Amino acid sequence: MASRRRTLLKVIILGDSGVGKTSLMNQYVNKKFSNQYKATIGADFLTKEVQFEDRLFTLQIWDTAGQERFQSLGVAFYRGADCCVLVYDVNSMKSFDNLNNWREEFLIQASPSDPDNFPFVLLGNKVDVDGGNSRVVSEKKAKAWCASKGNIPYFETSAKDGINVEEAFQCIVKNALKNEPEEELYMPDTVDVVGGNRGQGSSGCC
Amino acid sequence: MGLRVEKKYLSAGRLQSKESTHLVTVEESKVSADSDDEFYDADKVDPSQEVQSGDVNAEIGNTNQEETYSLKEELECLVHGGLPMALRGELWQAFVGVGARRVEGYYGSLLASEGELEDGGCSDSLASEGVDERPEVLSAFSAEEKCKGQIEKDLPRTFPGHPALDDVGRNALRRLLLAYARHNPTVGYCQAMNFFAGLLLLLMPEENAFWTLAGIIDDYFDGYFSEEMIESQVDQLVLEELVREKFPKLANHLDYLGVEVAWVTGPWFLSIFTNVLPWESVLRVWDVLLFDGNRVMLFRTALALLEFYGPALVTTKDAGDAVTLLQSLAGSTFDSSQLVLTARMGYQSVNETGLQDLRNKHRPSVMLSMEERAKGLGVCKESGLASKLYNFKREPEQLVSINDSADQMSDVADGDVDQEGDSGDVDDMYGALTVNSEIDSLPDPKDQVTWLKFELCRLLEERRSAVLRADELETALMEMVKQDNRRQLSAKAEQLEHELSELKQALSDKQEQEQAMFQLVMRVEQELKFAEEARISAEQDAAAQRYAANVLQEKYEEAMASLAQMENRAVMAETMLEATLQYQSSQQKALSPLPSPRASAQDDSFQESQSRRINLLGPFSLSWRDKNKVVPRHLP
Repeated sequence: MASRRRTLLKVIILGDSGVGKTSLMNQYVNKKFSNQYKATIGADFLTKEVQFEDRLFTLQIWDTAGQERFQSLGVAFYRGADCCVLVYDVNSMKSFDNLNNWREEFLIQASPSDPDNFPFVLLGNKVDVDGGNSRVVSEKKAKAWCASKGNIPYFETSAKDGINVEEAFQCIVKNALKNEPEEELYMPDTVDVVGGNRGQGSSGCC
Repeated sequence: MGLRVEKKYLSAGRLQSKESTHLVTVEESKVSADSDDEFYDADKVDPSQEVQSGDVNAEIGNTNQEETYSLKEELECLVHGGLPMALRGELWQAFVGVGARRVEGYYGSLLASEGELEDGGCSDSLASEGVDERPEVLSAFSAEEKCKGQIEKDLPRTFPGHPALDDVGRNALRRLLLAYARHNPTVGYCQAMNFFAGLLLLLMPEENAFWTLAGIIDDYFDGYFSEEMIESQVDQLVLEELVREKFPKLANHLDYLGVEVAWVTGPWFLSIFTNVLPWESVLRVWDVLLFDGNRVMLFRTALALLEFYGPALVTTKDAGDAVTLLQSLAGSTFDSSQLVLTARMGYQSVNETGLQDLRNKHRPSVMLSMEERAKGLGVCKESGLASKLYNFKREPEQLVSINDSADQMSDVADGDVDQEGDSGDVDDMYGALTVNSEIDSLPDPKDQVTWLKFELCRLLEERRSAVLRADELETALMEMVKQDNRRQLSAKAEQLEHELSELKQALSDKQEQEQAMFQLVMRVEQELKFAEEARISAEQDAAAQRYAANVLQEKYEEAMASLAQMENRAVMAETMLEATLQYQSSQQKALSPLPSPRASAQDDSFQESQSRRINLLGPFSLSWRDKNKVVPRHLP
């Protein structure tokens, strides 16, 4: 029943300022790239209808401001997220180093029921820049980080050229859904059934 | 507003008398000029604007006292009707009180200190830098580096494509933002300020823009853009309450959809509607906001927008639709006059005192959640107190608000620290008093400044350490409590889960057993069936054999019967034969005395036939007689 009601998926995009969060969102939703995006203040928001395994979902994508201090406003946005997309710039070591902060901050503020298994997806953006020559974070390093955080799926993207953006978001949808059955495990129904059985059993014994 | 400007003017006058006498002389020289003339003279942007802005201030301050209600009225009409574009920059500066704030050479020195900072030394004569000079040169340095990096990132993202923001424009923007970051390190640089600065640079010269920006961020939006953005969060809670009060139906609908008003209005407030409304509307809202001297217009505008678009919002069916609809509708609010009119006239009841009450009501919860978060991160937060103390230095009338916020701070701390906080407050007040008295005794303004600087540093230090200690204690306590709770809860959850899995295990075991039993039963049943079948077939066999035996018996009896019959017949035949033989022999006896040839012939033939008969019967009858004698012995 829960799965039937849950046709809305909330996705939060986090990452340092200027790594291309807004661009990724717009490339995915509008299939457009502009190098004239304004800095995001607070948070911005887009929706997209997606189909996955014959079911229709409304993807609610929250694009957040990258400056650290805006994190203090995050709690209102993060709550109820189904998946968190971490973005860094492959040409900036600092944006990669900050991923830990973003992840921890998100887990603290969103306080998901099962923090260890909450779905994250990592995107290394701007792979197109300078033909990859200015790149400072290797794919290996990024993958090692992902492995250390519980096998987070990783994609190398270019919002400008639209590389891997569609694939990445497909994966994001998939992972956002993956969280569903686990939540159902903790639904009171299950507990009730067990409790009821036990009650019946004991009454039968008496 | 007039009052406010006047106040500004007065306090500024005091400041200026300490710092320099330049502006005062300018003001005095122009005191008699007609203010109306001044407004319309300022038609075009003038290189000597600095002087003009001072004039405007002076004028408003002075004329207001002597004359006139009518001037105020007129100005208000002008503001609410929309300022003429050519005068906007000038008037904004006047509203913010740039003339009063302005300190000669300050802007230049902020920018000049760049070189010194990079050399590693940090010597300057300005109070603002004195704060970060002593205790945490390194952290201040890295904080500034952070600001710089962020500013660089945002320069190309500030009104991208605007013709005024070419390389020259960008450089001005960079300097402006950097200067502000150094002027007020507790705020530093916050995204959104780039848009404000960009807008101001379009309307006024660089240094004036700096003072205007400083006025807006330090006064209008005190505590808004600092590291924790507390006031920003408080305002959102206040707005939410107002929305619930004014538009209960809309609020219910948004609750139903799971939309928080702050998702949309948060960015509205933070950007003061830049990039949210069409330009004309943004400027008109800014006109009123800067004129009012507080943030009331933010609330009024937001409420007006919700009034306009609430009916459409109520028809939306999911959270995404509601948010995007509100965003796009706000972006098409082209009737700026309607907007300003509705905001001003429709929501007059929303005023600064009411808002302050609401803010005080909501602030503790924000502070509390901030602490929670800080605890979660294990990060020591920086209080926004330093910036407040600055303002205090400039404007003694803000003392009350300092105490307020100090009380707020100490509210969350526990008892011991509370006392400390209070004593800190007393210190502050004492410091403030001595400041005033010592100002007169110290001969040189320069000395006064250094002395003030020193005093401030000391006070700030004390305050900060007290607050930090309070925070730490609180954090530790909460952490312990939370840890404890969490551990208990998680233990309980684990236990329950364990039980659950045990029960499941038991259930599946039982099921397995049941299955096995069932199979066994099935097998037994099958065997039983086989056995039954076998029995039935055996019975059938037996019946068949019994039947066969019966049949044989019958046949045997039949045969015996026919045998007996045959015997009887044979006996009968024998007797008949004997009788015949006796007859024949009697015949022969009678005939023998007279034998005749014929008779002998006949006799011969007769004898022949009889012997033949005996021959015929002999073996037969004998064998049958024998058989009859034997068989009965066999039969039961």
